[in-house]
Amino acid sequence: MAESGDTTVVGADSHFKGELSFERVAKINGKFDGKITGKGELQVSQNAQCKADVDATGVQVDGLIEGNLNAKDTVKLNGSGVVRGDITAAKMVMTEGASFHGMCAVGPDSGRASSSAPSQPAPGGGPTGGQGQPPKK
Amino acid sequence: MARHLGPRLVQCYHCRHRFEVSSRAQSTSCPGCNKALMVGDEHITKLRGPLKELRTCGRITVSKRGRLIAETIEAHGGIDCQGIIDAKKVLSGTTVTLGPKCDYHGDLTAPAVEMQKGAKVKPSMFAVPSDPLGLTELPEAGESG
Ligand SMILES: [Zn+2]
Repeated sequence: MAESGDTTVVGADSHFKGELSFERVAKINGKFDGKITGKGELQVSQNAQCKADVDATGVQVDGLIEGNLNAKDTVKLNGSGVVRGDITAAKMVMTEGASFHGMCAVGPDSGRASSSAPSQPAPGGGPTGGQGQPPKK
Repeated sequence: MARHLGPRLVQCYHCRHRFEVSSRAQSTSCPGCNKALMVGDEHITKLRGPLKELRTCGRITVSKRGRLIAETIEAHGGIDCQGIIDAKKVLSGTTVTLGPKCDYHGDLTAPAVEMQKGAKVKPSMFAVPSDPLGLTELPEAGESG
């Protein structure tokens, strides 16, 4: 894990297991298994794979997140982003092309409730999904 | 949105039979199962519902002042919600747009969702993308040789 300026970076060739907390910006370019908590914005890059429950102010997803997301402010799920898990956020922007299987709750009340929302660490880092198991086809 | 004026291909939401209808048709009966079928677009500009279901092979738009309450909503041509949707189950054949002032509730299955900043979503299950109507191979009407 590296720090460049105010940004904490998990590099593209890295596989991090454990718990990460950050103050300003964290960027996952590689693989991450565990739990992420931060006061700032988490960025998950296009080829990144993140098996983690995330609690942050903002989350920007271009890669894969398996786990539950809680954002006090905005979740941006961009066109290449994939989320398998539940999203709770004050605001959310989802672009056409993004993939999302899970429970979705968006609004000022949801954002406020995010810190107390149930969020259990995924055993083995797998997708927790909570009540948000996607329907089987 | 401009639509070509030739016949368009629709898929029956009762039996999934595919057939062509005139572009101006609002309703028809399915040649596969003989059941009545809505094929036109639905524009919701005020309160509509509570309904058991609102299903169409066309598109559903809910304007800023529109409010649609239904147990099941199915729109093969997509959904554009700028107002309120309150449903148990929502199925769309193309992109669902949730506008910045929209208030949405309902378990959603759609191939794509565009959610704009400001949209509110009450706890709902999202399954995106998927092919809820099996429409991915649906060719443009008039294109087949
Ligand atoms: Zn039929």
